[in-house]
Amino acid sequence: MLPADQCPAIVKQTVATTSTSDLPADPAPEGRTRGLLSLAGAKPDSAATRYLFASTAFLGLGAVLWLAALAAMRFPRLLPMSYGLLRPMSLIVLLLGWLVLGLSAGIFYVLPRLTGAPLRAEGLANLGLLGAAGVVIGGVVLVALGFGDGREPFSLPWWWDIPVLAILGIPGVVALASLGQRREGVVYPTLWFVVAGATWLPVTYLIGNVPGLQSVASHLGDLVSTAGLLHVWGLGVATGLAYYVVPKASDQPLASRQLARVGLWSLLFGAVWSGPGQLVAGPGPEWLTGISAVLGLALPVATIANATNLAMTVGPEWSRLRHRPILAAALAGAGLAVLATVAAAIAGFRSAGVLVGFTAFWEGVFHLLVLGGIVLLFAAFAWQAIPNLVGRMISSDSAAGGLVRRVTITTGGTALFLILAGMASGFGWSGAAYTGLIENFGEGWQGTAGLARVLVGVALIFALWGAMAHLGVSTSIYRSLTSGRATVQEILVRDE
Amino acid sequence: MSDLAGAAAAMGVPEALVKRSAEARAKATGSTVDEVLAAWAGGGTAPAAPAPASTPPASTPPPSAPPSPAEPLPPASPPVEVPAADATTPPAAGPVEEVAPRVPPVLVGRREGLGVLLAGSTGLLILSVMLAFLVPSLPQAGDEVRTSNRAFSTQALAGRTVYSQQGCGACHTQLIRNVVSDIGLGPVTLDDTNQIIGYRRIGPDLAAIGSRIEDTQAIARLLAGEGNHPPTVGLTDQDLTNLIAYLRESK
Repeated sequence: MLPADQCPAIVKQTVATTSTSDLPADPAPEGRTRGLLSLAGAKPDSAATRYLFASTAFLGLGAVLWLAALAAMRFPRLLPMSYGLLRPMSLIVLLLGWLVLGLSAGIFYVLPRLTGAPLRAEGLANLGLLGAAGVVIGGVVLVALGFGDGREPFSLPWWWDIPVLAILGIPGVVALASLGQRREGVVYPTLWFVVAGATWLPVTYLIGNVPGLQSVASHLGDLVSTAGLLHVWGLGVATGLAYYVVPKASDQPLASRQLARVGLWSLLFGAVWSGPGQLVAGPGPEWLTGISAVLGLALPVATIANATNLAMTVGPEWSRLRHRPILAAALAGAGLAVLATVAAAIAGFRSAGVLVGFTAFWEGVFHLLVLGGIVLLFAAFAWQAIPNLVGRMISSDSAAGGLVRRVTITTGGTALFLILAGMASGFGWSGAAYTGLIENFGEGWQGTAGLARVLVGVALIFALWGAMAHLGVSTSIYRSLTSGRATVQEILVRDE
Repeated sequence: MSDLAGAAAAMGVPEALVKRSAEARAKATGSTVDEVLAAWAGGGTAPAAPAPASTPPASTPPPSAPPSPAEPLPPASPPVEVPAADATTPPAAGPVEEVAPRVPPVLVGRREGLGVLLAGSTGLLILSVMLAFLVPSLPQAGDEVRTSNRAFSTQALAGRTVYSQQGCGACHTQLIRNVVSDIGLGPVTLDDTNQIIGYRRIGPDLAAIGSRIEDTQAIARLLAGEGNHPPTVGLTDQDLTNLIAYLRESK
């Protein structure tokens, strides 16, 4: 690796073009490898573009699978596959497929722009994309065929975790190698979140997949891993990208670097505690409940700080900028993340945790955070980056704005009714225990099962509408990448 | 060498494009083309353009300005835009129409380190893992006298694997907590449990299912899809036998 002062800098050129085919051709070196290995070519922004493209497909597929899982939860005999199989299958596609690849695209996009140095190991990243797609598709097939291990969230067998782990290490390798040769003196808040997310990602995955653990240790590992993955990688990196996108799209400087610092460290403090908080009153030490409740409060502090910071950045110009879908998506996504983390933090307290633990409440929190907040933050990044990546723009601002509204309403509605269903179940269990209405088998608890079912049914209607909105986001990004209107493009060139 | 040729050589782009860009820059800044070309050829800074009226796509921060503590702002001089092509129009096979001058990267101010960020992030990761996972996973005081560890038969242990692979834990807990809502389900689950704790209780808790129902045929009918239970797919008779053994021994 070259020292930073000897590393060629990267600079941006803006070109006005009528299509991406007008761009100057990348001069192919003599004897250049063709076929699949040509993916290892390191044309600037190639990794970001390819990852974004692949993640878009996984977002659409994952949204449909998640809808199928919710349908199987409400109507167990509706589909030939049970909720227990559909759930991990959908999470593999959503989290390993869309979330990892999509946010990796964001990392690969912002790194050269914020460091002034070329993206390092871009060829490795391009090859890793093939591996990632194979790992995701193979994982779904393995779980569907009954080879899973039943552990949250992916249920992948231990021998399949090894290639997954290798794939998850790529963003960290690329990020740290690129940052090591940066030409820019300032380390921007976006890079803080990127560094944290990329370094936590493989470690949190490993914790949730250590083989040979007993029930309680295995369960705690799964919960810690899932919470870390969602909050530091998913929410953290998506928020970091918003810290890049919002000042760019609004033409305003970031309101407060200090508030961003609060957002980062609070996120890291509170990231994993909503996991063990779900085991309240279960096996494990009593002190874990208390510490989970207290440290879990750091999570909403983080999301509130970040959402406030983004809103303050746009604030002075909001009347002028409110019709820009990029900004609307970023702010709505940050807002939904606040709601999800507040709900998770409240459920960390014993009184609430014993009520909503093991209920659909947590499905609602997950839906609100991932399919609401993070999807919108991701869409904001994608819509901002596509013109610079491929010289095309989103086809319609009004259509994109409509998608933002639909995703916000539908994920909010789905989450609300799932949370209410979880509370109905929890109250019902307690009431049944007092009145002796527990059944020996079957539904388990009389009286409230019907209400919970109705509420989950309403949530399913919102989820169906929401899946169409998610497919709309996916289609919007795909169409912008492939056939959007031509616009000014930004290309990266080495300044050697 | 003229300024035009010098600027073109310095930027590595054709003279025609440099001339057009210089004209656009001169018009935007109110200066003359010669001044702009002289600045570019000599490596100096061209007159800055006024702030754009509309937000252009992202580009580099202005080279003459010190880096802001916040995110970089869009450039002071917006790229020259051409009318956008209709989305349905097939791509034209023409050359690049406009290339804005390259702006050399500028490293201004103190170079911030990543050490504190990396150390802090890694430290919190280690702390979180220790407090939330490693320490709680250690044997707890009193485990030697309080046990819910069941002596499963070999067949039942094979059934436990089937239980995991089929994702039964996504809908069924095997966890009885010391709370009101779990009263009547059976003995409280302790730290040394060897059952599958599960993640949701969409169906009934199965921690002590073996003490509540002993009719093997009834369990088999449920697994086959009777009532509100989804049918199991792809399980062999041996798998089902093992699974039923695990449930019956869960007392």
